[in-house]
Amino acid sequence: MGKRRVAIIGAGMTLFRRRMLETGREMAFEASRAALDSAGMEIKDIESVVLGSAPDAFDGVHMKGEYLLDGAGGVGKPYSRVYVGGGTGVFAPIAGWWHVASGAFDTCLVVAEEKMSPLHPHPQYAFWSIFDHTLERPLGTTLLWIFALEMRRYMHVHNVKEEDIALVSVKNKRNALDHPAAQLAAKITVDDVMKSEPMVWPVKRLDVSPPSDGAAAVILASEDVAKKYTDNPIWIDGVGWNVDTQYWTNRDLYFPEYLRQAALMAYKMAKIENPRKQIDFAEVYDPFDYKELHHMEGLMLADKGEAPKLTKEGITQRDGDLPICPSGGLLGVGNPIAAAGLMKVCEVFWQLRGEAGKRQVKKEVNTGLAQAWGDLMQVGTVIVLRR
Amino acid sequence: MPSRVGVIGIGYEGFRPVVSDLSVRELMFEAASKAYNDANIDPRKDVSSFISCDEDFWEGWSITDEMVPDQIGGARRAVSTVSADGLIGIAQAAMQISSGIGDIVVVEAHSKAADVISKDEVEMLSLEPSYVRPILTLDSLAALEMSYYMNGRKLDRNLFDKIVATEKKRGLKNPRASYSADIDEKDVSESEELIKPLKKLDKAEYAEAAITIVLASESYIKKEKKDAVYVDGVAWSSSLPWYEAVTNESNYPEAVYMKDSFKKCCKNAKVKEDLSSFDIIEVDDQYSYKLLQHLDALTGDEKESEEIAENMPDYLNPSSGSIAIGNLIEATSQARILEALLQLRGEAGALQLKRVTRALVASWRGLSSPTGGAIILSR
Repeated sequence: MGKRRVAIIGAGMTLFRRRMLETGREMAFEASRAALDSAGMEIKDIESVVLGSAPDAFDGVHMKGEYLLDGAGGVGKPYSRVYVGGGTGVFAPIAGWWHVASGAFDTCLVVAEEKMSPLHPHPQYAFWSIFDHTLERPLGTTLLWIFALEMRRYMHVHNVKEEDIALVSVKNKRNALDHPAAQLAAKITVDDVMKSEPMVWPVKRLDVSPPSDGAAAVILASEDVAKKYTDNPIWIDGVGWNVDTQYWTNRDLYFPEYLRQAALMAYKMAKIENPRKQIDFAEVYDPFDYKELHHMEGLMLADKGEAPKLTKEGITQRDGDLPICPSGGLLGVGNPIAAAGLMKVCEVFWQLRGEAGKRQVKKEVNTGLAQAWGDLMQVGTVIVLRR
Repeated sequence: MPSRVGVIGIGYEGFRPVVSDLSVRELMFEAASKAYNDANIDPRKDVSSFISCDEDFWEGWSITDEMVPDQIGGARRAVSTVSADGLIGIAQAAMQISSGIGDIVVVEAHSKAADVISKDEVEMLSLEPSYVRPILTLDSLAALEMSYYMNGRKLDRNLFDKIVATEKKRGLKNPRASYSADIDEKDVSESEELIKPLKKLDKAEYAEAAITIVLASESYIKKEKKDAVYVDGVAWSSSLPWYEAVTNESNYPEAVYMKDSFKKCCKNAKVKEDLSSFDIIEVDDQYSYKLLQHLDALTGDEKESEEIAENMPDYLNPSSGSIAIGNLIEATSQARILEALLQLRGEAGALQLKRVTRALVASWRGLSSPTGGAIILSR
């Protein structure tokens, strides 16, 4: 536990879309403004700003943090951009947490922005250069290839069928029908997923989240300040992050050990000894449907190989015993990398405040978790929130 | 307020225009190993968090943080990247320690600039893409600012010739100063002009190095009886770039980021906002005119800053500054912090000044950034 308690007192986000007309700066501004409005604050009330954004290659702007500075409200303030690839969206509020928990600042605006659409011919091209220049790039490796390997390994070790995994996509896209910012909400069936275009077997089109533009923001405050602005603060009780070796070929991909380590760090801080019982719902990172299952196991919300069974039994539905991705997740709401992770933190905040509208989970919730994942299948970021 | 932290280990490697015998990973490994040896710690057991300061395009990797953990002992540990210069990384580390993340946090920053063939194109990509990038380069931006500043301050080039000549010559005593030279003001005055009034010698040339700094909580330092240099205050701030909006009332561009940072840093450290509070000051000089502009921000008095720059006293940039050491990209401020730490530890060799107990490092992230910071170190 940090030296000071830190609360989230406001959250906001833009629409998530394949191509937004707004610039990155404008999206960062819109999300920040929405979060400030939600908290009843003005930018002058903010003492520090943390920005999260993934590769510079998306925007084609070097030192992207500096470029987004004024849109993100950082002018005249201590402003910093933190970065752990796809895990950034949950890591940015973790960085905001230490700004406040340390006693250095009483308030922190955390903004995550991603504008993937400027990259031509496709945002995936930004990921070509994430591979080792000597060992991997000459092979023409893509992210889809390596995730297909990971998905296949997971299926093999636990004897999981593609149909079992497709249930995640069906659930999340349907949940997203209730999200006003969602990009790819849909009522689909397992059959639709199975018949969708094969990309790299076993990954099919509907197993994957889309490229997106979007931004999200939250306001963090110390206990004293939080109580001045709201009667309903949501506390950050645990944070954890972990980065594994870059040499992903040297790891058994069936289980994300780095995520387990990140979760243990967060759980220790939040005094969680039995996550399955003590966490009421979770926004688990789901850029691919199999990743939700993989991550549930890494987070110890399910035993190894148990997540498909929980999904099949409806446990992870919004009205289930352990709702997972009630927002609709990346598969339904969209995947503007860093903003997608922070969208999950926003969703946990809204759920715990009972402000999620049609998306509100049925059971009473007191503890929620958001998680993100990134780099070369090597980053886990975890945040535990409580009412 | 955050609790006190101190530096218990430093390690560095490189400090050459081209480090041809080490890859970036090897360079980082060498610096980190030396820092861990210096701190007498095992990174696999003792370090709570690792921070690297870097940017994708300089590294040639998208999501460059992925390649950081292995060579600094951070694999399967809490590792993260701060896309900023080393001073801001140290500020994050201090906050992590104060938050209770752990007792020891490592901050790594490096430059492998020579690996980048098209540095000017990378630089250009930092400019705002619609209005600024099509019409400016970083050199033209620096020349414009220098001209704007010189006109506003009614200065001629002589002062900058003196700054460059003094630092280049001072660098002859510093083994880490790749661009030191035995030149005088006349040599600078007659040297190649990039874009009027900016000369090639006004600008810090790219160099390569890796620097690792190990920070620890005060309680750990006392418990383990470690030899430490304390971080009394650290602050950073961002303003708008002068070419996008005028954020000051003067008739020339000011380093607002540095003024803010220095003020907050002194407040944190409970030190009088006066340069006489420090035995040495390492002030960013990635361009010669920036040294004076930054001194303006630190003194709040044009005449005083001009007088200091005119005399170039030993306590100002005893390291010889970036003009002689080189531009180490995100490791630039870390290099100046390193020089201050060596002075405070009495390990600065031929550069060592007497009775150095408190140092100020004032940094700027470099063009086209409007971000800078300040750190106060004491022993």
